[in-house]
Amino acid sequence: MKADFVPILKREIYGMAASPGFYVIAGLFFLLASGLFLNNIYSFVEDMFQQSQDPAYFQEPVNFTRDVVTPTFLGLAGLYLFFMPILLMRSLAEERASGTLELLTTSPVSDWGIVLGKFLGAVAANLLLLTGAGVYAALMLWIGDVEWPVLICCMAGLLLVGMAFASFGLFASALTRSQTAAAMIGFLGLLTLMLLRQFTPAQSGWIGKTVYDIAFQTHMEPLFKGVLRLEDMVYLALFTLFFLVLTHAMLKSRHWRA
Amino acid sequence: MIEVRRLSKSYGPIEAVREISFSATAGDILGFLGLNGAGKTTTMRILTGYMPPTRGEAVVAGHDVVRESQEVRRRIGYLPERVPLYYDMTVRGFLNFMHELKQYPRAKRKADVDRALELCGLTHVQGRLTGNLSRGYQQRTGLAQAVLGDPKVIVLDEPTVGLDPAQVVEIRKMIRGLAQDRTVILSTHILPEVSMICNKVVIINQGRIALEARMDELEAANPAARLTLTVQGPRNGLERIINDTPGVHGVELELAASRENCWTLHVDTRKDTDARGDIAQRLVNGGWKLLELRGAGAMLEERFLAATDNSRKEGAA
Repeated sequence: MKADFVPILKREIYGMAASPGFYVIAGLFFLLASGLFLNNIYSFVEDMFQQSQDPAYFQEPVNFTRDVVTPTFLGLAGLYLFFMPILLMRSLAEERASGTLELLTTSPVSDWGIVLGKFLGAVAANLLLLTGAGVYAALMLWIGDVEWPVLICCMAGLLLVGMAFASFGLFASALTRSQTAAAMIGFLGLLTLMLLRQFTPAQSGWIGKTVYDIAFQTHMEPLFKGVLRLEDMVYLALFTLFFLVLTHAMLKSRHWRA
Repeated sequence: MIEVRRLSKSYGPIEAVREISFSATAGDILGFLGLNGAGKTTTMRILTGYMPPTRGEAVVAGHDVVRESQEVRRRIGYLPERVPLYYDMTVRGFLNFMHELKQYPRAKRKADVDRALELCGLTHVQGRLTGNLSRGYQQRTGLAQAVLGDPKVIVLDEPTVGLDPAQVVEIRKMIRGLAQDRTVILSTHILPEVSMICNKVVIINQGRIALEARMDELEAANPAARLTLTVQGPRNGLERIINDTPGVHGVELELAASRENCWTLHVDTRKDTDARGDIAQRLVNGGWKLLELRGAGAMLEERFLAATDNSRKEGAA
């Protein structure tokens, strides 16, 4: 397939770079992320002090990777839950509202080219946020005793979770002309998928087991603990693909909708 | 260039377009007329590859719109009713983007963009953000992306809506200049615009073709050359003075809605006689004020009203 998504991808990156809103969102993300990171460092130092005073206080000795790296990256993934739908809300909703979607869909670019261009634009934004997260990773390596394979898992996990959230955010943006509605659908949808596990009281019976298996949390947490499982990789890949296919279907629905 | 055969489009149970057929060749400027909801936009969207038809076929620039949709889209320039622009891009930046999107050769980009800028009178604003341009210049930018890369077919949906009179004149002039070896489809509600610019007209009503004709054929088929006049002054003697003019063989008079003491007259004249000068002179000598005198446009207006009569009655009921 010819790479017909390239102009759309370039336009997405240009649109982000030219938008003051993007800098505000990225700034707010890093502000909250820094607060989260510092808070985890502060708690770790407190625990360390507590342990030095009373070694029997903790059942297990404090561990920088477990107590700082994992919660920081889980927290960043939690921020993604909120920020990805906001970053993606413009994507197709604004194109639809301003009429430029008609321009794209009557150009020789395929519908998959439009979806991929938009999605890869979101991945580019994700990589930028990930570069910022890399600063925290570097600081962690500098100040603490980090198990680097776990750190690598966390970075890769954030990339994959970001891609999955971006795909869902893009789908939400394809559902409506309103950017606000797109952001709300994206955020609430992801929150539901994330907390799905909490809705079932126990992991028993086939319903409980199924809900446990499809809950996002089930497959995200091991990654941030440094546990690399094939089923989690497959889940995240399928999750991303599934919502890209749905976005494509939404775009295609113009063929039968007035 | 464009061949539409028994084309239909349904949205669920609603049939927006029903077995329409028409054609246009290179050099044609085809006026596409119809009431709101008649099926104009649906037809144009099918021709531009936005959506496929339910039945029938359409061939644009030698390619089928369904089987060779990408090829059609590469060869067609389209300006939708609402000018689609990215307001954060400069005029040149936007045209560069469109050139790449249309997959035209990169080596020709600068020359093609320069040409479109020049053709649409945008060279001096090429560095400005499209969001900061006036409505007229935004419309020109939309037109520039439609003519970019010299497409064989150009589809324009209401290109003069919302423009001031000077801009309307300029855009019309520009459109006339476009159709040399190209086919232009012009969808509009402004009938005089069709009379002025187009050499062919298609009227669509309730999803069906109500009329397809060349403008000169319409003229020739008209039993009499019909003039429409707007006159200010007393009614007494008005019909008589026009009826007495050589070449005139019928007058209908009605009160003009717009002003007090104004009359609209539909005057039938013999085709071999140009009675306009005599009528104007007689009216002025008789103390009336001649506010307007129209020729061919009135004939198109009549054909349009006749073609859409049932829809308007249903709408009013």
